[in-house]
Amino acid sequence: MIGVALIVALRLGNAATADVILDVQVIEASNDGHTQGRQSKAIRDLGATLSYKSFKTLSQEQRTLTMGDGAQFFLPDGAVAHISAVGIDEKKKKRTVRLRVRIEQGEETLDTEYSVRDGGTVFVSAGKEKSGDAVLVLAIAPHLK
Amino acid sequence: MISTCHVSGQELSRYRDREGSSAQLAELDEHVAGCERCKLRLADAASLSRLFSDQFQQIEQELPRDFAASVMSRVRAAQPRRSWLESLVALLPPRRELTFGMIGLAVAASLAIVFAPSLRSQDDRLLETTENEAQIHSIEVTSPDRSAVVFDSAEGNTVIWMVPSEGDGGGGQTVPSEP
Repeated sequence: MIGVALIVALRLGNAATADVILDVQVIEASNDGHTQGRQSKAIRDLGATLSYKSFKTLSQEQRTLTMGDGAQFFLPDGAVAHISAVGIDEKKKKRTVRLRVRIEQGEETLDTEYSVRDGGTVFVSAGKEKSGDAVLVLAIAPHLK
Repeated sequence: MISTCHVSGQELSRYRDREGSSAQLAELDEHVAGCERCKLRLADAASLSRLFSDQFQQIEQELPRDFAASVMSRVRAAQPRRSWLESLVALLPPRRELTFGMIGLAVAASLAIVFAPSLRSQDDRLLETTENEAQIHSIEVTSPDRSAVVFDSAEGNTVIWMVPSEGDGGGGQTVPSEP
């Protein structure tokens, strides 16, 4: 009984202090031209989902976060994305990472909290670019260490 | 000066849809011709109806190609034989109250926000249908003219997207999806 409690406590302790590697791609979707060259998995998925003609990765960053920590990502046109690692949930041997994503662009703010599996991607609209009809999309994928 | 009249919103809505006997319609024709209040209510209803129609068209243009199919697959699991548009409409108050309730376009805009997350929380089975799908705990949008919708990508990843929402009024919209 005590052993089980210890194992549970250790697992919870590990989960609470676990690091997460945050992979953030900034993708521009527009109707100018066509997607060229080698496409990332995220772009292939977006291309099959959204009705834009062209997808381009503007930047890709990886940051390591401890649970409870946050990171800022500065986007084109002055938008800022604040991403925090809120916690880890474990259900039926599946671990999910709970993230809070807050994107600020001028007066507009999108603030969301979600859980996604380890390595899973969530696409978040990061606003329209001021010039043209292009939109920015963040592809956010947490990887547990 | 606005005259007082006995015609209820429900009666007026039926009249607008030309429902009822020819005698009733003729009686209302005569009443409406001389009633400024009813004329205003009918004009409001017509403009609200147009705005809703425009709003749905705009949302449809912005949504991904397979949005309807994606929603349909969820809707079938929860409520067989109901189209995604019918599901959206089902979230509204009864049409006649809506028509004359003057609730504004904020409701139309918030439909899109509420729809997808509410499907997620309707049934735990839906949460486990896609391995890649994220569980949304909350979404808050502060924008004078945009709202958020949630849908699945072609590969089952979750997409949180912003769509135009005229008449939102700049207030934040919070959508908790946890039961």
